[in-house]
Amino acid sequence: MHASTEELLSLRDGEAVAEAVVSHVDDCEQCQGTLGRLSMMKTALRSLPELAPADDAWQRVLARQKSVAMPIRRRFVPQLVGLAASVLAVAIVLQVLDDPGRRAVRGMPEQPASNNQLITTTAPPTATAQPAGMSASAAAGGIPLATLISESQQLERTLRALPRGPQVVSGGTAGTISELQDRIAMVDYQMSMGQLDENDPDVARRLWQERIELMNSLLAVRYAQAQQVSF
Amino acid sequence: MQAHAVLFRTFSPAVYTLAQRMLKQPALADEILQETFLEVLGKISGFSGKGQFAAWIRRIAVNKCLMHLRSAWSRHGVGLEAGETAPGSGELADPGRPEGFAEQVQARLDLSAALERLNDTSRTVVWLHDVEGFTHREIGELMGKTASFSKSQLARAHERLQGFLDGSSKEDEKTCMRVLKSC
Repeated sequence: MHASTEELLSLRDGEAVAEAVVSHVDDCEQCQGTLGRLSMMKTALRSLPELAPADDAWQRVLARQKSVAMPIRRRFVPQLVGLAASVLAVAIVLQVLDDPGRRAVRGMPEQPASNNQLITTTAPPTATAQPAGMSASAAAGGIPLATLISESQQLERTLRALPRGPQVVSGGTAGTISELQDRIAMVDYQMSMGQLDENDPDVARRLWQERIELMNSLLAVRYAQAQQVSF
Repeated sequence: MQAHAVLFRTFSPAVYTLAQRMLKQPALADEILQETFLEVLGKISGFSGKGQFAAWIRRIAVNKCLMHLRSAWSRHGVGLEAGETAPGSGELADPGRPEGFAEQVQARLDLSAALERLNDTSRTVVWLHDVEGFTHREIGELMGKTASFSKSQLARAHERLQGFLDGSSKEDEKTCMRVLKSC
């Protein structure tokens, strides 16, 4: 009985083959012929010409790379900010419940639990429900500077508490994180360069508010990243 | 970005060829090429350095091709440019080539055509194993099957390829006979 194609292919590729098959092929012209054809076929397949992509293929990759990065910021970040804001609110509530005297110790006014969710006010309109403690005037600059600073510190603590990001990150995500970090650094730079006018608390408030918004966005992206890793 | 362009120039022909051989259609191969390099550029900083860079890119491309072949769209749909592949066809008219070159090119065209007539699974297995050098175990893993599955598919693919090529030779002979009789 002749060797099967599968056995001959194994023989061709130097894989383990039964001794009986090897000795049969050694004595069988027909099997040797088939083996030769299989080897030639492999050579012929390998010598098929390489095909060239279109001349503008690279330009289209670049264009797509840009278009992939943009929608992440435009479409998803607001939703992620909302998600992160909700998570953050829960985290803060838990922390406040855990340490009810914290605000009083630091000299800040005691607020009802619902007002502690003020942190979510930095989320855009697509976020979860507007907290009860947030008013339009507050958003416009009525929030005490100390509250904004505290909020920023809280965000930093939450960011630090998140698991480290994966080593492999999509270009869009990496770009978004990098851009947010750059913008935060820019705000910090403005603050450190003394652009805070002591006589104009609105400027300080605006910068701190901007910092909080950027950190909320960063937290949203990092949170989404952490979720992906956990899956 | 210039480094990325060099990277693309170096590896894109291999990726494009792989994709077109597996998917048959230039438009799909172009899509896979773009998706592969988008992923490569996005993950390049995370490349561990273990194994060859070319092998890493190739695996990304293979996974994308397999993903496409597994998709319902691919299973039920018919491509826009089916049967368009004609690699190397432009070289036939070159008069400066050595004798027998036209036959070689014709043989390649026949082989390309035969390859395209195989079903997706057989074509993928024969290309990945015989040309790209994947082992049966690797192919089995990529396709969610066993090494034995890959072996049997390869054997079937070769039997069919040989059958198609024998068939085309017989067709050629018939055509020649018709031409001779008409003279």
